[in-house]
Amino acid sequence: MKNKGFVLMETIIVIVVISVALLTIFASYNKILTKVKTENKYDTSEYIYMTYHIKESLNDSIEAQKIDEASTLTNYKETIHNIFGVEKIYILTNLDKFGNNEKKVDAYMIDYIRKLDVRNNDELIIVEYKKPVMDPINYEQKKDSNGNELYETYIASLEW
Amino acid sequence: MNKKGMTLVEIIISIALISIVLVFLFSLLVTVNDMNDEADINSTYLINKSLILRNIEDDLSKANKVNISTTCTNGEIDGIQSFYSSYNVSEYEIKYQASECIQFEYTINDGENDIKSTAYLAIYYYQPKEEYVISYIHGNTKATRILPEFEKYNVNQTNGKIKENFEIKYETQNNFHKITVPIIGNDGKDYSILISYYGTMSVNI
Repeated sequence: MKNKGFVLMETIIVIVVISVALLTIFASYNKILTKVKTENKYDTSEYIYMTYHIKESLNDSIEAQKIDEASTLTNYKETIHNIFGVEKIYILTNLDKFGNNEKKVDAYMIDYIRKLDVRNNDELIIVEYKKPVMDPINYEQKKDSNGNELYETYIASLEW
Repeated sequence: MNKKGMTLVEIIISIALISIVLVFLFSLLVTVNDMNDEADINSTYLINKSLILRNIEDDLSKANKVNISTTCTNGEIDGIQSFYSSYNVSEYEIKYQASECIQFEYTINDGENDIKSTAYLAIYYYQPKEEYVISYIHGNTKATRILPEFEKYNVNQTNGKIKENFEIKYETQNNFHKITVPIIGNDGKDYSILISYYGTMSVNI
């Protein structure tokens, strides 16, 4: 009868295998959490309501035929930028054709649109917002080492 | 017959390696548990915040006249106190400072008459849990002024108290309005509430 137990080499191999398995599980869990954290910035209730107000104001301006006037449009863009932090507004009319225009939009928007669960013929208003990152100590906007103000990007959409 | 087992050195090395793996495993478990708790708190907070926002936006979107102010006068404060005492929650200590209560006065037309309503977004201290709570209280004040039918939704941040030194920020331009209720949790995260409105609104902040 061979009574030889575990040798060092076997122990090491088992430990390595267990470690690799644990690391893989942790990495995949972390990936899921990161994805959830990113998606927390998409379609939050606050920004959906903001998008609703943007849509209403755009409809009002279109009805009043004011949106075509350059000065009115500039004023409108400044207002929604200053108050709601609107960076960009897109009207998505055909999801199929979006693939050809990916280079014209930024990475956040590409990621958001790729995650959209819509039919190709749905028309959407998609608004990108910038929200200041606040310092938890004094509730003032955070700045990076170069003195630039820090922002987070939020995106929300509604049927157009 | 080969009866050679593990040598002492091999056993020591094995135990050392297993200990390292166990330490790593334990710290991994603690990390994952913390992440889970954080995600749980965040999702509860998001749901409650959405409920508050839905009620505020519902009320304001139906209104044809809106006035907001941070001067929740004694009468209104009495109303809030009566509401809490009627629910036997006298342990709530409501903060009276203007910066911790927003009053929304709005008028809704039901097709025939204008109905005046008042709502409050109040931030107060909940003594038993030693934490700050945000509630939105609303209801119709009809012809015979009785205590409105109030509803409340609480935002409980179980892992942190809201900082006391916050001030409600109000911004407006060309019929676009934004109210920011700045809240930073003890975890250093931004839990502020943004209320947006498009339309005519008179403001006394």
